[in-house]
Amino acid sequence: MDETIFTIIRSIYISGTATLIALPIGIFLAYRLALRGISEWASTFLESFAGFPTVVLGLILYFILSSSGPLGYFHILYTPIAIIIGEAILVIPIVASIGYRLLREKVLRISELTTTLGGTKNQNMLILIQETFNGLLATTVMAFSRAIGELGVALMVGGNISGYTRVMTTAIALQISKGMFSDSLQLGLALVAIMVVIGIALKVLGGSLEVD
Amino acid sequence: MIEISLKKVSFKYRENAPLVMKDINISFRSNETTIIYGPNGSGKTTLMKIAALLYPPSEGEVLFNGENFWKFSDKKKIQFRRLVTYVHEKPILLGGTVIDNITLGLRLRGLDEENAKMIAMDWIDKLEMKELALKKASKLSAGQMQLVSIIRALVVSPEIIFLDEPLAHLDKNKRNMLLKILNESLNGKGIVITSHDESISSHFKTSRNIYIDEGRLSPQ
Repeated sequence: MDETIFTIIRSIYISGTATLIALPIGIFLAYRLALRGISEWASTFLESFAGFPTVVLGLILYFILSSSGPLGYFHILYTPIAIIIGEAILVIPIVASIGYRLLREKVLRISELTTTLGGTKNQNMLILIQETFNGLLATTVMAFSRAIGELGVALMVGGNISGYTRVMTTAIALQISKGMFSDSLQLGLALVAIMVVIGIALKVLGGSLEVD
Repeated sequence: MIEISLKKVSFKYRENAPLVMKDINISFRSNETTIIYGPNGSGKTTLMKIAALLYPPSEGEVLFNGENFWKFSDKKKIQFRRLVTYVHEKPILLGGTVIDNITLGLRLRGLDEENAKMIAMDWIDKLEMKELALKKASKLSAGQMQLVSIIRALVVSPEIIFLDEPLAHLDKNKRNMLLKILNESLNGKGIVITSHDESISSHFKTSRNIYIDEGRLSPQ
C-alpha cells in the first residue's frame, strides 16, 4: 500500500487513541468541577488551557521524554506513544472545559433527581452522561479534530520518522518544505475529509440526525 | 415507621451568603400529612429539600430515626434515602419516553426492566395516562410532566413523599384525581406538601398545617 495511506491510518490511530484516553479523564474532571461549582475565573482559566500552544506542549514534553529528562528512562521519545501522550494532554482541557459547560447546566437538577430516587454516585454520573450524550459526542469530535490537526506535538516528540511516526500534519509540513504542493494539498483535503466523516459518523451514532 | 427531625436547623446556600432558614425545629413521620404554606421565597422548597435528605444543614442536625443522617456512611445514606422521595416543583424529566422516566427510580434500585414497567403501568392506569406511556417525555404538557414526575416518585413506594407545589400545573380534574390517589394509595405513609392553595387541606382526613415565612416556622 502507498505510504500516504499508511500515514492516514497512522494519524487516525494515534489521534483516535489520544482522544479515547482523554475522554474519560476530561469528562470525569468536568463532572467533578460541575458538581463542586467553580468560579467564572477558574472556568476561564480552564478554557484558556483548551487553546494551549501545541509547540509549547511539544517542547515541554520533549524535555520530559528526552534521554536526560525525568521520563527518559522509558525511551518513548520519537515513538507513536509519545505523540499519543502529547495529544491526549492537549485535548483533556478541551473535553474538560466543554464538558464542564455542558454538565453544569444539568448537574444539580439531575443529581438531585437521581439522589432522591435512590441512585448511587456512579448511577448519578452515568445518567448525567446519558442526558448530555449528544453534547459529549460533539465534544469528542472537537477533541479528535484538534488532535489529528495539530502539528507541534507530533513534530517535536514524534520526529516525523517515515513509516513510524509520520502523521498527516507532519507529512504536509514536509511536502511543503520540499515544494511538493499538490501532494500536501491532497493530504490536507484528506485531513479535512476525515474530520467531516468522523463528525457525521458520531452524530449519526448519537441519533442526532433523526429524520421526522 | 420512619421519622425525620430537624433540630435547630439553619441553612445558607453559600459560605458567605445570608441564612435563608433559621433555627428550624420540626419532625416528619411516615403516618402523617403535613401541608406547608408560605409566600414565594419564604423557604418552603429549602425546608423540603433539607427534610428530604437532599441538602445538609449549615447548622443544626437532621435526625433519621433519632440518628444524625449526615454522619451515616454513603451506603447507609442511599439505603435511607430510598425510603423518602422529593418531587420538584418544576418537573425534571429525562430524555426518553414517559415509561422510561417513571421506571427510573425502580431501575436505580436494581429492578429489571420488565417488572419495573409492570409496576409503572399500574400507576399510569390509575391516573388514566395509558395513551402517554410511550410518548417522548419532552413532548408532554406542563401538567402531564408534573403528573409523570409524581408517579415516578410514587412507584418507588416511599415512606414519606415530599411534593413541592404538586398542583401548580394541573387542571381541576387532574388535581382532584391526584389528591384522591394520594389519599388512597399513601394511606399510612407520610405526605408533605407545599402549596399556595389553602383549601388543599380539606382533601385530607387529617393534616397538620405549617406556615413558613422568611425562613421561620409557625403553626397555623
